[in-house]
Amino acid sequence: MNTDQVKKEKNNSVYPRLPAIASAAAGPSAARFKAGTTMRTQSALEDVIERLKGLLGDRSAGWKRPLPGRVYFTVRREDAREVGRMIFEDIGARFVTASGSDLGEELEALYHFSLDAVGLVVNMRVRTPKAEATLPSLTPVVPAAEWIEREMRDLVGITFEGHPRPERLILSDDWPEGVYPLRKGAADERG
Amino acid sequence: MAVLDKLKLWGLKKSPWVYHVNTGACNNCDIEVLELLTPRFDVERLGVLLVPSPRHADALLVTGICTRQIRPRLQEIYRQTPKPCLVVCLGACALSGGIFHDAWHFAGPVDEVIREVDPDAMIVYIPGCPPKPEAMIAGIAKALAQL
Amino acid sequence: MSAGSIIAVLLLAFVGTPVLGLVFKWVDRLLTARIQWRKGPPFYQPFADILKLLGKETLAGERASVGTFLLAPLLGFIGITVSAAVLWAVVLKPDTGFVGDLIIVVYFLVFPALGIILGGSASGSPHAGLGASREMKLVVAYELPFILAIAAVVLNAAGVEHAVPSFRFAQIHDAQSLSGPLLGSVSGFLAFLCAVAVTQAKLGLVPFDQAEAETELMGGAILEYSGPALALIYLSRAMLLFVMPMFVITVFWGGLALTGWGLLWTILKFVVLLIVIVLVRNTTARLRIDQAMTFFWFVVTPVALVACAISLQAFRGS
Repeated sequence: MNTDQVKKEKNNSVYPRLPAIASAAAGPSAARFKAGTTMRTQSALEDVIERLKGLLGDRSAGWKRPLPGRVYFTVRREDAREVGRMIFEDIGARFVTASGSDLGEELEALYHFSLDAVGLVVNMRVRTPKAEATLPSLTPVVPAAEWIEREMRDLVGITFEGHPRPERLILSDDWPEGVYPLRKGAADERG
Repeated sequence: MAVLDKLKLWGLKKSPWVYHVNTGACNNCDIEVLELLTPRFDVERLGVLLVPSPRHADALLVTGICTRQIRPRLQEIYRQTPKPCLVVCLGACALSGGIFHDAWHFAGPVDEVIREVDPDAMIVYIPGCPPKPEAMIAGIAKALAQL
Repeated sequence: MSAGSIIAVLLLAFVGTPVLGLVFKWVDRLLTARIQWRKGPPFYQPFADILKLLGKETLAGERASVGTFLLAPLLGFIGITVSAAVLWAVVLKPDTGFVGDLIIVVYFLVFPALGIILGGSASGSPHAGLGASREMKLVVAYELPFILAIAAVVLNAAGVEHAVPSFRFAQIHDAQSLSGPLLGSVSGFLAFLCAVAVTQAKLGLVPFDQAEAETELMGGAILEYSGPALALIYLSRAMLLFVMPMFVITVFWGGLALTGWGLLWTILKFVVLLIVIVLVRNTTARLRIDQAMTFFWFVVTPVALVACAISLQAFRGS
C-alpha cells in the first residue's frame, strides 16, 4: 500500500546508514560527525569511546562510565588545555558547561562536552590543590568557556591562567574579595 | 475638598497600574504574572495595566529573592514610584527568601528592604511558589478594598 | 457669533471634548480587549485613570529642567483644545470662520507632538531623549503628506464652487453640501487614505508609536511623567482620539450633523474610523523609525502627490 511505503521511507530517513568510522590511525579529522545526523546506535557509541581513549592515550586516567551515555576521566593540569582542544576540535564535541567544586583538599573543575550525534556526554576532570588554586583556562581553545570560568573564579576561587577577561561576573559589586561562597565552610557574608 | 479626595481614592481603587520588578527570581512568578494578562484571567477588568515605567505605577509587583546587588536598586525604584503606592511581595522568595533563605546571595526579605526606605510603606503579601493567578487577583483585590 | 454660541463652543471644547475623548478611549480599550478575546475594562475606566493620576505626587528627575518638563503637557492640551473649539464652531455654525482657519487647525494639531518632544527632551533621561528624537523624526515624516492630502481636497472643494481655493472650513462645508463628501472622487479618496495613515501616526498608535515604545524605551518620551502632568498627557491623548477623526470627517467625509438622521450617520462615521484605527493598532507590529519615515516619504507622499495632481488637473479644467 502507498501509506506503508511512505511510512517505511520515513523511518529510514531518520536513521540513515552509518558512514564508516575511521579509526584513530587514520588521522584526527577523519570522522567529524555532521550536526543533524542521528547515529544513536550502541555500536556507534562504543566506537566513539574507543576512539576517544585511543586519542587521549595516557593523558587521561581514571575512566568511569556510570551510564551508557556518560564518560568521566581525569587529566593532569598541564594537559587540560590540549585535551580540551582535542575533544572540542578533533572529535567535534559541543562544549556544554563546566562545574566547579571544593573537594576538601583540592578544587576541581569538571568540563562537560556533548556529542549530540551519538548521545554521549564526555566529562573531563581537572584538579588543583587548594593552596595553589590555579588551572589553565580553556577559553583560548573553547571560547564559550569564558563566562563559566569567570563564574567558577567568583564562587569557588579557581584562578584560570590565560583567561582573557578575569573579571567578576556574578557576585555583587560590593562583595569582599577573597570570600568564595561555594567553598566548604565559607563564612556567611550576608549583611 | 473632601469630595475630590473621595473621587481620587475611588480612582486609585479602580485603576491600579502595576510595574513589575524582578529582583532575582527564577521567572516562575513572572510567568504567572504574565498569565494575569491573558484572556483566561484578564486583570484589565479590574483596571490593572502593566506600565513600562515606575513613575506611572501605583503598585510594584516584586518577585524574586532580593539579591545583594539589586537591594539598593529596588529601594531606588521604590523612591521613584509616586506615592500613594503599594508594594506587592509576590511569591515565597520575596516574602522570606523561600528555599533560598540560607543562600549566600540573599539580602533580606523584600518588606525589610522597603521598610528601610519608608517605614510606612503599604506592603501586600501574596504567598505561593508560584502563587496561582487566582491568588494574585484575590490579593490585589483585598489590598485595594482596604485602601 | 452670538454670546450663546461662543459659550456653547467653549463648553463643548473644554468639557465635552474631554468627556467624549475618554469615552472613545474606553471604546478603544474595549475593542482591543475583544480582539484579544478578553472582556475589557468597565465603561468608567478612563475616568478612574484620570482621577487616580490627579491624586499622585509629581516627581521630576534630577537632571530635568522642571519648568519645561511640567509645561510641555499643557502645550499639547492647548493645541487640542483650540483645534476642538474651531472644529465645534464649524459644526455648530458652518458659515463662521475666516480664511485660513483650516491652516490654524492643522497648525494647532502639531502641538501635541511638540509637547511630547519638549517634554521628552526636558526630562533629563536618555530614554526620554530617544523617544523625543523619534517623535521629531515622525513629525518630519508625516506632516508633508498631511498638508498635501488637505491641499488636494481644498482644490476639489474650490473646483466644485468655481471659486478661488481658500483654506477655509466654510468652503469645504459648502462644497460637500453641494456635491457630496469630498472622498467621493478619486483624488479625494486617495487623500482620505493618506489622512487616515497620518491619523494613526498623530495618535501615536501602533505601527507608529515609536515615541512611546513600551517594550523598548520604557515609555519613551513620557517615561518620567507622574501625577497630574501624566493625567494631562493621558487626557490629551484621549481627546486627540476624538479630535483627529472629527477633523478627518469634517474635511473629507461630509462633516458632522447634530440633528435627525444626520446624527446617526455621523456616529456611524466615527465608529467606522475608530474601528479602522483600533484594528490597525491591534494587528500590526511597530515599525522601526527609519521604516516609518520611508513609509511616509516614499509611499504616502507619492499617493498624496498623485491626488494633488489629479485635483489640480480637474481644477484647471473647471
